[in-house]
Amino acid sequence: MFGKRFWLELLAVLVLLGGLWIIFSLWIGDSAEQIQPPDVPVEREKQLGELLAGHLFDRFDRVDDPDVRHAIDRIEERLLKAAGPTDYRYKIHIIDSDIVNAAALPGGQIILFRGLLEFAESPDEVAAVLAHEIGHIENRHVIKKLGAELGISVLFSALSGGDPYLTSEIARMATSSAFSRTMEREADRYALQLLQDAEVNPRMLARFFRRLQEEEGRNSGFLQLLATHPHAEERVRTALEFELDETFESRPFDLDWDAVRGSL
Amino acid sequence: MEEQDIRLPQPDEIPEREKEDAMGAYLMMFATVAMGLPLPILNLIAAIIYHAINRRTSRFVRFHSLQSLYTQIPVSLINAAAVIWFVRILIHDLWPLSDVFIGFLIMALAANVLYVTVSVVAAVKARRGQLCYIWVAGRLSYYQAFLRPDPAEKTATANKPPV
Repeated sequence: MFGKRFWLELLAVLVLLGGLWIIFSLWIGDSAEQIQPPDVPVEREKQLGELLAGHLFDRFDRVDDPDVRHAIDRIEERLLKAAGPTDYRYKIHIIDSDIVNAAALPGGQIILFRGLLEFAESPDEVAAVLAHEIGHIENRHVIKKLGAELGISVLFSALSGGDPYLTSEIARMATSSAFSRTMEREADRYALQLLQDAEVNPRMLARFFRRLQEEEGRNSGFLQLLATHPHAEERVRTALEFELDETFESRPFDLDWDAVRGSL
Repeated sequence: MEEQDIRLPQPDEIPEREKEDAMGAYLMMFATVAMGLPLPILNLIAAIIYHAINRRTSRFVRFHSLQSLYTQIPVSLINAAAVIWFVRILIHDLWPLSDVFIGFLIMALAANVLYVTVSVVAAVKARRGQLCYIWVAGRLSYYQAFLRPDPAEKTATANKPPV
């Protein structure tokens, strides 16, 4: 009725608007990815991580139960063996808090909250979360995120130790502010491969986040992990779509997880 | 009515009042924009009312009021989608804003800038008594204003002598 030209114009307008949407979305994603840590030596990153971890230990009690420690060490050991050589010396700390969360600090420090261990139904789920946090550290996401939000000079001025408020603010950001979608994708890709290499079923990552989503409606106040690690729906899908090697077989952890949880 | 039968109104044949009414179809948008920002649908309602009031004046005014209305529909829908999406984020606490949402906001901003620009150009042309065809909306409006029967003519021939 309106002629070929009308339909061409309509198509052009739709392509223009849709194209702008896609281009701007990708551009935002890319610009987040392009945040580079400006030549921060790993040693400095480690110092900052230790400072922040120390600050957290001043404010929270730690879980030092030997059974719990033993279980986490076994999981860590298997993951790091599969990860191979790394610039970081990993330290996993367990904070005595109900919150279901995990956080990566600069320089290889990982914080697990007691609530997360209680929520996990198996050591494989804890391994999935740890593999994801290791992914953030290996990709230097923590220093990128903090550097982008605060500026590298401000970040490292905290190392002088003279400004407890600044240290407190950096620690708060490291444990409670979210990573970008691109960073989450990178950490997930790393984690899924690492889990497979460590003979842990990568689908555990999907299972854990699916359970978190289901729980969110009932008890959302404690589920900080979904706030600090957003885009759960996409991440569950990615984990389910991950192509396992044909020869893959998962090897269960030799741990009595119920007993470990009972010790918390 | 066939396209080749149409004799389009020329600038010096159009009364000043009609030129102003045609221009008003585009400028009316600026009057409602402040009110329409939180509720983008208000702009659209205003455009529909303006068209309803002026649709029987002349084909020239009808063309411009239709074109203003059709141009506004996609922009209003985009703005409404942005508002609804943002409210949903507030309610469901989906922070931080996703790349896709920020990309949509920038696209919506570009669409609004484009809309304002073409509206100003069209308003100036309308004031000069000229037709200008904005993509898609121009052809739709041309079809409806010039190729379909004139409602004003229908009214004029409503009273007929007894058969």
